[in-house]
Amino acid sequence: MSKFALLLNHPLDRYVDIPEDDYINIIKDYVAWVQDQVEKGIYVSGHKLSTAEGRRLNKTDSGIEVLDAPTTEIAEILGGIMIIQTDSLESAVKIARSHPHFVHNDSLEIWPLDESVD
Amino acid sequence: MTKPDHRDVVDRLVRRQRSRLVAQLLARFGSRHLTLIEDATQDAIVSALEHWMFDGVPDNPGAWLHRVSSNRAIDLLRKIKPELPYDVDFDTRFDETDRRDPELHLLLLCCQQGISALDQHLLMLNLVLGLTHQEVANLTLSSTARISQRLARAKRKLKRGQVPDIDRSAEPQMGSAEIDTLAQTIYTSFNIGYFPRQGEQLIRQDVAREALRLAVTIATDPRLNQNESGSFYALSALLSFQASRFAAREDTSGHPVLFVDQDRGLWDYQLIERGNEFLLKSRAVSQISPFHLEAAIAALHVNLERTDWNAIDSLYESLLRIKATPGIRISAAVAKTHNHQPDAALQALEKLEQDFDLKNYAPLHLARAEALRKLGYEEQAKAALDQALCSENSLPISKLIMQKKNSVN
Repeated sequence: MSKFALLLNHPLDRYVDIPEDDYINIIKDYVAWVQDQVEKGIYVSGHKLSTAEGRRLNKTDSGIEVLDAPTTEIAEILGGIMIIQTDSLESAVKIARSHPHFVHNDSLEIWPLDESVD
Repeated sequence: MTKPDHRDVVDRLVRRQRSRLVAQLLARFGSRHLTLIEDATQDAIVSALEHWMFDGVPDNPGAWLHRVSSNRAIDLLRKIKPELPYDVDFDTRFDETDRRDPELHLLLLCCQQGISALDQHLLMLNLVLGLTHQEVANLTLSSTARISQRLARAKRKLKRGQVPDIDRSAEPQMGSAEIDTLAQTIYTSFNIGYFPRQGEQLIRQDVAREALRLAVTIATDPRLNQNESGSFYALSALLSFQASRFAAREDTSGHPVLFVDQDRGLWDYQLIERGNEFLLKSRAVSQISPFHLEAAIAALHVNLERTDWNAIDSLYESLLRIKATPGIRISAAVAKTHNHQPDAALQALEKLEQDFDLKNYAPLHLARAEALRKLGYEEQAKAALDQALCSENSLPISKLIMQKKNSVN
């Protein structure tokens, strides 16, 4: 079994101006999917990232510069990370295809975790 | 029945918890804080779902939601009432087996005098049963905007009512007027949209289950006298029999299936059994209520061997003497048609048309069409179906009428 991280990107303003009932309906789809994967023993853990008040730190000649993040120029932000376990990257891709993220958003990335240090 | 998927489970959980939280917080803080209580509940639900989205649903989601929403409500309340003691020990109050039924308490508030029957019904769906404005709108064939407007007005009335504040020791009144209204509200809420619409099967089952639970709870309430209790048992029986046929009333693509065409293998026989038990308990009365007759009629409908239209017809005769609403008059006429008296049925329906303006009411025209067909007046039956089509219908019902029309020679 290997672990894979699903990085869930979405446009910065994706959830800004939608009615609360619609928002609730969207999250319910995610909750249901996670619950399904939990029961199948696939889901490991996850973290939601807040869309508010991040900081970006850049090294400059005069020291470390702190900027607001996310900056408005970027099109997408990382909304959250989910860790799943399965036997291969192919299988992880197959599982990710059923993700509600594709109903409500356009893309996600899968990265295998480096477990050699464990 | 197919096993509900996780999405359905989450939907059901949220609906159930929303109503439970509003009921508990309202019983605790008083209905004049209704807006704040609803806000706190909604916040708690959003925040819970956002957590569960990454962590999975906890083992006891009810307790989780209860804790979050209570804290949120107390925070909001402190802004208005800084004197509120800091040690409002709320978490310890959470007890699923609490005998004081918070939903019943809430339902009693909704059934206060001065709130119209329609509004009581909408409040029950939204507050007591936890349906969103959109879900209420779908079930009552109305628009979300219209429902939101009506609910806002009804809630303003509720907030102004004579309702205990902070101290929940004072129970709302439960006299004979309130008891009548309770029965009527449960009955109406259960009957919303006789024909289910696609995707709403599950909501209707939840509504039915909770309406049934409340009816049974009230039937055993010591504040009721024997006749009142009997009429609630009869209502419980009626709801059980009706709910037992839900799955059969809609085909796999969500289209309504009329009683005579239903697959009886899809009926819920456990629920029918419960209905029979309630019917037995309902007998200990000195005076029968309309619910007794309706329950008896419903019981005859779920008889597996054969439908005794003759008995149904005569029970309707008795029911009409004490409760002659247009809906019951139409159902009685349909029973007469089945009982080989289409002539009498047609007369009754024509009389009904003179008494009420029901030009736009499809069930009336459908009942007429059925009687006319039995009498061999095919052309007139077709015309009646056309009238039914021109009435206000949901799409599946229009399709059903079209099918019927095509089957007339």
